[in-house]
Amino acid sequence: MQQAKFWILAVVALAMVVALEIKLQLWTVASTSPENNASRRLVDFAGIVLWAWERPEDLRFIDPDKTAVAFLAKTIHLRGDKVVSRPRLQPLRVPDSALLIAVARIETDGSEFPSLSRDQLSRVIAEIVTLAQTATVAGIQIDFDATVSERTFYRNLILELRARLPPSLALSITALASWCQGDNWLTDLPVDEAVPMLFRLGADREQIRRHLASGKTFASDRCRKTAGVSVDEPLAQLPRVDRLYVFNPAPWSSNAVNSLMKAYE
Amino acid sequence: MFLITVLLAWAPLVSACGPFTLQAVFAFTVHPGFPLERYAAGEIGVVQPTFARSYLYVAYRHLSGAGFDKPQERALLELWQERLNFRWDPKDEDAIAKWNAARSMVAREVKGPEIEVYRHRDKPNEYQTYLNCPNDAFLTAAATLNDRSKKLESAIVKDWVTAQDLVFANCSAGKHIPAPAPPTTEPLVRADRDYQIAAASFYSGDFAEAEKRFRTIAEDKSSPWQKQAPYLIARTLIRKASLGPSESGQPSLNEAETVLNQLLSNDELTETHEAARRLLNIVRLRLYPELKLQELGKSLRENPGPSIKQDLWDYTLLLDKFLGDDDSAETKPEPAFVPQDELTDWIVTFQTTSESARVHAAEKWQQTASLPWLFATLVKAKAGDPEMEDLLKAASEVKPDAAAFPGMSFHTVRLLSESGRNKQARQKLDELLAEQRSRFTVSAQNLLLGQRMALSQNLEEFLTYSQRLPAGITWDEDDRQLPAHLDQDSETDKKLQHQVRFDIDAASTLNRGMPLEVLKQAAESEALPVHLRRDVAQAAWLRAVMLDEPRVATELVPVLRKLVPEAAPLLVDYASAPENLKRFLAIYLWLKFPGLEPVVDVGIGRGTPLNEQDTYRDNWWCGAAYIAESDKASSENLSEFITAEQRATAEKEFANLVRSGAAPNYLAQQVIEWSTKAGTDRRIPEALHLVVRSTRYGCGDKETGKWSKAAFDLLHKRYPSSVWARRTPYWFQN
Repeated sequence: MQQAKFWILAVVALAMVVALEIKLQLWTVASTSPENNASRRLVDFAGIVLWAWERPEDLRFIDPDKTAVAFLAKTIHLRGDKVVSRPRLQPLRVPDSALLIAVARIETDGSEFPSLSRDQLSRVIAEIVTLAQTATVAGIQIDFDATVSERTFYRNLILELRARLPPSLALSITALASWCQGDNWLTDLPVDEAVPMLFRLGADREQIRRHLASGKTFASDRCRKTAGVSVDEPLAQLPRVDRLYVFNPAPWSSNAVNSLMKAYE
Repeated sequence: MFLITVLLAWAPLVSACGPFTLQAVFAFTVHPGFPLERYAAGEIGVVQPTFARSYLYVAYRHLSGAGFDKPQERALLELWQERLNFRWDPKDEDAIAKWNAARSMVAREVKGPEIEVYRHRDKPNEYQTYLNCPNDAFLTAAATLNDRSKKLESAIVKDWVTAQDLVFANCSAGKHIPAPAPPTTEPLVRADRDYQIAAASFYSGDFAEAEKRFRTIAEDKSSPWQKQAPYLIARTLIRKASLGPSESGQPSLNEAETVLNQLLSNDELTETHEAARRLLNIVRLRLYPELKLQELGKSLRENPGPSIKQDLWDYTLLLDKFLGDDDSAETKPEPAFVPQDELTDWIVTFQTTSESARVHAAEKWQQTASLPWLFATLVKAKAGDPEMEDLLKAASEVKPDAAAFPGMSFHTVRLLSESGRNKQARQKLDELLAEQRSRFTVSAQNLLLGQRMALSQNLEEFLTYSQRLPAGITWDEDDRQLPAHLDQDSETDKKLQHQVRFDIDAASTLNRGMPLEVLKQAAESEALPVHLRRDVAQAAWLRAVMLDEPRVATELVPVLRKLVPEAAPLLVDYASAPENLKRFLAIYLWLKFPGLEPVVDVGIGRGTPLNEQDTYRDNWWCGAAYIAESDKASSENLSEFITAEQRATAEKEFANLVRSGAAPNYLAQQVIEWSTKAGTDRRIPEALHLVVRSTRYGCGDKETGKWSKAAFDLLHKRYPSSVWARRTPYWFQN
């Protein structure tokens, strides 16, 4: 009996050593892999990230351990060869210890097609890099619904921006659901995460809903760790994600966040 | 990892469109159709309570017969353009460019610093920026520099420029204060420097210092800045109220009001009076918002002046403050002062959907007999309301050239129809569409066509009125229904704008309200243009196949051959095949034509050719659920020519379609089943290959992986040496 116990303990101890070894090896691999460097940049982030858009937001009530904030910090308009940047003009209050992501939204519109020139690219990157100078920001998120013809520009932007950002700063992008599902252009981008936008889906709405409802994840692995939803567009089921970004078309209130946290839990 | 199930507050599904899918808007709901010039000029169409409040104000003025003059219309347009972000003001860049140009004339050798006009607030508001250095700062500096260049020695002017560079360095961050001018310098130089130090204090956020220095300048009769100083004191106080400690807000505004009132009563300061009035307006907006709202409501209603753009801007912002903004999900309780101001009362009542709002509108109409209140009451009226007949009579007296005419007409027809007076409603609509159509905006025409379609007495009528021209084409990724930029030289883009389509009411009737036999007649009718007929014909044929109605499907072949010539060879095969082969041949055809669907498209629909795969997986019908959720409400309002029996048949057929499940699963099942019956059919390996592709590029569900593997296994087991097996190296789990 005693002998059996010894062997059981020995096997368990050996298993623990092996597991530890494997874990250490994995950690070693992880620490040298750019992708895992990327994942560590976001490791401290809470499971819920509230998008604070261009409207007055007082979020001092949030629990920073459970909730982070991605705030619209700058909107960059591209028209012709121009780059016009509008910083956030609305108040934002957050707890001192809140983890923050500064969001740069890039907009092109129908009035004048952007030139997407080299010079325009440099100016956009310079605009976004300034956001990294805000000491309390832990990451930058780019929100750009790039059309097919704008993708090369966007791709170059991400590549160059990543190189210019401090290594400790996370780089996140929002992603149209179709990018995560039908396209493969996200695969080799140096971003820490791509947040599939599961609201305002338009024509893809039912398709994406059905896809998610069937328990499937997105085809692109860049899109599997996070999801973006809106409080005014309920989704019956989401894939398993590390972080859920939540948009609210109205200013956040403690009630809205509490309801969200309940649903989340 | 977290398993997240979000079941948040339910809200209506938005009709938005992903950035790669253009959407047709048939009737605008958040603002009027474009161009907005027509709306400003009085072509208000059928005004929707969901329009933003600035549009409702304009509707009110036109409904009451007042309207606007041309400068006012232009001002309204500017306001909407700015709010819809159609343009930015190029003057933003011009002002800095003018300063840089003036600067380079005297300090060419030293490039000026980059100027950033926005500045972050101090902690704890560090994430907010504000426009610190507006255009007038640069224009004033440029004008001063030009003037001083003529009066002063070049070295002194260069010194002035250096100091001014420091002043503008405060625009974005820090505190950069020029050194005082030596007492030995001439008075103008000292006065300029004092002004620069005050301005630098202002832009650096040291408002106490700035106020003190501007007050000193105001006392200095020798300073060229003396007359501007009172205005700048007021500006400093307002900045302090906005950006300083919260406890200093109210006292600073009170002080600013006093300074501005004194300034406006001083005839020696007339050159700053206009700017001072604007500042006083801001101060009063903040000190007395309720009073200001009522003042603005009264002046905008009775006598909108040249300041209409600013007034309407302020008025609607104040309404947002008291009522919640137009987009807000949560509405605030109605403030007590609302009924005291006619315009505010009308806007709030028009937007509110409650029964008390309907009763209030009716009371106001009885009291005032005015067109705005008649319209508000009519919009809210239901069949059987006590005032319905009076309303209909009053609405019938509105002349066709009145701005109110389209809206009155639409709601008159709605009430007639809702109260079962279909003949009368039809007659009214036919008159309107025949004689008054040009008076209606495209959105309004589509609303009338929708009403007329619902009152159709036969299929030909239904098809005639089911066709709508889009009122706009939009990407609508943000629910704002902004127009997409379309290339006027592109045939594709021209088609988008000028080709008629099915709106959701027509599509849902065709998809869910019509039995197969009627849909077949629709496909055979020539009432539809070719592109819509093609859509109906393919839907009817595939529906016949899926419902196992080979006779109907075969009878549709001649029509479909003409409309989808690329499918003609396979359709001929289908038509001539024996009964037992027909089903497989139809499935084989569908596999080769992933754009076929047993339903018609709403709006622009799928743009990829039927026999090509859509990049975004709009292939092989995404299933009945695709239309079930969004079309339910409108499919309940079916045209009267469809009998109860036909309706029941349509419902049964639709339920059968739904039971077919995800298309890739259905296709796989059909092909595998046929392979067990006719394994030697040379088309089976190709069909299995296409089935596997459909599980990758079509809309699947949790069963799809299973079917993908089954088709893959069968292909590789039974036809291992076929070219199709070689072309199918994988099956797809997801």
